[in-house]
Amino acid sequence: MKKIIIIDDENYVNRLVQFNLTEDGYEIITALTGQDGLRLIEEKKPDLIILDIAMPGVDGFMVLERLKGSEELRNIPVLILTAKVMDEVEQKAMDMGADAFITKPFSPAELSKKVKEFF
Amino acid sequence: MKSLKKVWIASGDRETLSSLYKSLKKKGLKPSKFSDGVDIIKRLVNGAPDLIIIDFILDSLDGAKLSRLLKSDRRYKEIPIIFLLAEEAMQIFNPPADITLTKISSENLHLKILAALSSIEGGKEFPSALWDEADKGSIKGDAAPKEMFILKNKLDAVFEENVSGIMELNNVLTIISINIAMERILGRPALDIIGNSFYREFPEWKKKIVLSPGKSLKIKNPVLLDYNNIILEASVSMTGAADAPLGYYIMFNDVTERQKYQEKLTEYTERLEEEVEQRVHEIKMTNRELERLNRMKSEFLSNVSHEMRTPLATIKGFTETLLNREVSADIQREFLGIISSESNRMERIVGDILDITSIKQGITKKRLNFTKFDLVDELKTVLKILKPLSDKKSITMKQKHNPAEISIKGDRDRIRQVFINIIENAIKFSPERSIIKIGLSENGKQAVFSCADQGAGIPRDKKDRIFEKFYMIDGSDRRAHRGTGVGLYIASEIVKLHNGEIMVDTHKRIGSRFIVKLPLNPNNPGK
Repeated sequence: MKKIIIIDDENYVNRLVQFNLTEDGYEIITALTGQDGLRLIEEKKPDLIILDIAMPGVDGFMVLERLKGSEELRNIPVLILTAKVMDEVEQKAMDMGADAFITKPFSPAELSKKVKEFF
Repeated sequence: MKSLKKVWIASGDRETLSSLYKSLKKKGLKPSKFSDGVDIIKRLVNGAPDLIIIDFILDSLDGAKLSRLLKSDRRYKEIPIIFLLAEEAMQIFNPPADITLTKISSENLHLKILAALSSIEGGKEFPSALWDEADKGSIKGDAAPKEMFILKNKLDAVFEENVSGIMELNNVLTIISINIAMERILGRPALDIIGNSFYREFPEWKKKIVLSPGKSLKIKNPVLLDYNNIILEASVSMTGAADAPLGYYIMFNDVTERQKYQEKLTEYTERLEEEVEQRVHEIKMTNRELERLNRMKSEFLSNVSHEMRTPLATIKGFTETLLNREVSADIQREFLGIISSESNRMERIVGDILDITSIKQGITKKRLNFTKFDLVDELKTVLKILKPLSDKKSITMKQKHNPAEISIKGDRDRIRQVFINIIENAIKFSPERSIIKIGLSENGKQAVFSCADQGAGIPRDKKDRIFEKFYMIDGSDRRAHRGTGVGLYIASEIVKLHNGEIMVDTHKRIGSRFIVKLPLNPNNPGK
């Protein structure tokens, strides 16, 4: 079973993603902060990371930077899920090595489709 | 009867001078000889003579000017003057004198003078017609041509009647003449000045008017001088050749008034410049402020957009999930609960936006709905509304109100909004499991509400700005503490409309305390 970690400080978003992707047959791990997310990634070695940008403390960009700087973790694909719709945010995330970019609000069906593309 | 003993004879003509001297001495008088009018003036201080015989032609100061000066000075005007004038000058010059004699032949002149002397001594009128007759047929001396007298007369007019003060110096810098305007400027009679050395008389001008006879004039005209509280503008010209000057003319104008105006003008111009600079600065500041507000507004919009996208994402996502997937009744209930809660959040954000728009258009007192109500009761309601929010972070709300009822007059919904905005803010910025102290009291005139949290506090330099529209402390705070950044601004605007005060007291790492003071209902004070 493929493991996916979702990191978002909005509990409801985590719940939404978790429910839909569990229904699709993935194992879902959730984290409410960037710190927790990084810890869980190292521990669980997921197959995909779904990452929010605007979070208190360690934000999405910092998580991305840490991942890409790690020999071990840099090959795990990252899907950005954010309410930041500005082009420069998407550009920055892609430049930093993100693999896909979805803006909120989003359709769960579309997210499922996008996630499926990674496997 | 006057006795004429001491007689001064002034003539530039050496021959006339010595022959008159001899003839008067022979008569038993005590004559003195002068060839220059300046010397007469200088001698006067040692005692005046009984009579002065003045020839028109003298060295430096001429006879006509000399007699005019003597006759217009009350100290010397009683001294009798016999004036000697060439026939050619008779119709041109009319110097003030007791007796004016035409100077035709030196032979006749002696007789004429003796006759004049005896008529002055006897107090009788001098029979000039008789002597004019006697002059006829005499051999004329060599007087200057009439044209020279006319020219001299014209120059005298220009000199004497000039509105500028004029001072004439000889080539050793002795003052040999000054005109009427100069006397007026100096405020002293010409007789006290003529004959003196220019630099001894005006030592303070030595540095400004540098005259070195024998060298060419090196003065940049005009020169400004101070004299007895007046300001003089002087310009110097030289007569004769540069290496052999005959003398100098210095023209003076009183420019005190002009200088005063100039000073005023300069002062005014400077003030104007300062004012313009000040205005430009103000405009720049206004501009900067507008730019800042504009930036804040853009940030607000982007912030609001982000804020709305988050609840919208859950509403949309859970709705679609419910439509597209088979879910149990429990899950259905859970999701609908989330949708409902997130709808409320959306509503609050939309409410904020509406508030800011209406405040921007200006909520006037007319648009407020003033009623009498109990503030304690209102606060209790607000705390009930906010309880789920504080529970979520396990925050303890300690409330203290005294007296049990505080009546004010105001817009109840708006005041509720003030309480909600402040307390919600405190919850938002408080760490989990901390305490928020809420108090309500009155000080005789005002109801006093306070809300103290144990948050991070507000940096001192940001303190005054938190009541500004769209203000949030910084980007990281905005991420950490979601909000549109208008809550405190709205609260402060509402408080102002109630003639109240809002302030904050903040200490880093200890927390912030917001205080709101609202006037008590005047009809029911302090109850």
